[in-house]
Amino acid sequence: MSLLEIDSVSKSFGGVAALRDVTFTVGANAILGIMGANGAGKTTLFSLIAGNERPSRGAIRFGGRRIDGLSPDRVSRSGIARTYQIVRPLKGLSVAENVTTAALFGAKPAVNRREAAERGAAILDQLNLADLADQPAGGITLSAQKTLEIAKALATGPRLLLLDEVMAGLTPTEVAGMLEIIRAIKAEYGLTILVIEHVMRALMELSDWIVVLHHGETIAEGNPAAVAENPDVQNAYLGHAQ
Amino acid sequence: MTRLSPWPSLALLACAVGIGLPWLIGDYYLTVALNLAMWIALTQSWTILSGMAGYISLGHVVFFGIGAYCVVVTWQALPLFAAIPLAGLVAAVFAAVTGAPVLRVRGPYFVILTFGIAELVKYIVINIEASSGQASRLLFGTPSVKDLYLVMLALAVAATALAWAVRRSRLGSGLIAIREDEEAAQTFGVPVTRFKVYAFVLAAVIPGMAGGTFVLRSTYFETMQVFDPVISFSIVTMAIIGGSDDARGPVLGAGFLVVLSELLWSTLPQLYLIVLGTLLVVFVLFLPGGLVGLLTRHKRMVAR
Repeated sequence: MSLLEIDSVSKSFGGVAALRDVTFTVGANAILGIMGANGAGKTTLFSLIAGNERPSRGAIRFGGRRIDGLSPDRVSRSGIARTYQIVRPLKGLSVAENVTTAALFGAKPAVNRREAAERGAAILDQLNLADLADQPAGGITLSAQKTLEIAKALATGPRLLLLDEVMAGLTPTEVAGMLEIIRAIKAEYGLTILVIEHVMRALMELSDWIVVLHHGETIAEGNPAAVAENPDVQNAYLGHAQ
Repeated sequence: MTRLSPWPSLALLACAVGIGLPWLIGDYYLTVALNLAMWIALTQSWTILSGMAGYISLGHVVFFGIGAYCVVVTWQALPLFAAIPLAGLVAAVFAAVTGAPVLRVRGPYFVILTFGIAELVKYIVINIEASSGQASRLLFGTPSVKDLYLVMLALAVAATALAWAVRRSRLGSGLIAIREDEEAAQTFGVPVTRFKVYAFVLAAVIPGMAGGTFVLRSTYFETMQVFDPVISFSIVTMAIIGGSDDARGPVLGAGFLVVLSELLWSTLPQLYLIVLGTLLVVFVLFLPGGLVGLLTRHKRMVAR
């Protein structure tokens, strides 16, 4: 039973096609990795799923219901949460207030501020951000801001989590910590996760299934081992073998 | 050791003194107090949209003017206890109808748009009045200063309570998230369009009623006066001078400016706007936290 269906989705900006006829499905409780070079259309795909952009053609279904064309807040309420590759903390608020605010909205909005604060504190604890709870969100390190993106997304109580390059720019130790966090939250909250990642080893290690985008088209999909062996993928990534 | 904040008891004390004032002071000072209450009501209301959601309105006078016009048009046809709430209702309906399109625009464009709408409504009312052959209207049999003062005091208290309650509500959290990053807020589920319109409507109600009360105090109605853009500028200035993200700011800002303008009107009336502008620049540049920021900084230094 697939939770998310991307059905022949295309998106162009002006005359430039960012995505062409992309089709794949994501099963419940899976981690699906999306691979591709810069400009392959990965973030555009997330923007379409999260409602920040509208597909030019095709349909997106979540739990059997069409969600393309819905506003981002309605998509969020239906149970999808995304993080931003270029982090978007509520800079003037503290880390704790960021998460508390997100917990008041989304798919499972807290009934009051106290419940939101409790849920927020538990998430910060789990993501090792508890020490920074009272810091202004604009002043913490990039790696903490990336984790805060996940914390905010998680606070909305999603079923599907879209992680956009949460490991980019992190040190190998931080990457290992992030992998652990992602696995832990997936298990605890029963999440389905879509991951965009440039850190290839991390993506291979994390994903059950990988979709490879190249210039807006799907050129391969399969389990990590099969994708790594795929000649089209090797060509796209490493250039033609001499 | 946690110390109780002095603010709630101060607020209660201010209310008690406020209610007792008509029996303590003469009509002149009561008019000053009425003015103060009016500015508190206007500035508190303004912060619901412009302070929390960060959509700076430079046309808040439009609600004030609409409310005033409502009361004038229904004067002696409707009893006061119906006319004043009606003024608030009409201002709220106006906000609800114009809100969705107006609030699509952000930043400096929103500032200019709100200013323009206030001017537009002003000229529409001027033309309606002119077509009925009236330049201004005199209102006979208006209530006493004491009664109007008590109405305005109630509006100031209501506006303060409303701003306080909204800030603590889910709506308030959503509005602050919109101010910080509207797209991020919408992505984590804040219904941004709906919340902005709610804030706009809540920010309009009390200014509508304040306008209705004000026009009865001045006993005549002139469109230019109740739609005067200087009223909008004063609201913004008071909010900035008061500063802060809570209900204290507008009270301190309004108090400061009302006292200052009393002193200036009696001595150097032509200086009022110049002083207003200078203060605004000084506060924006050097004291972005406003008077409340100054107080908390002082407290921190004392504690150290």
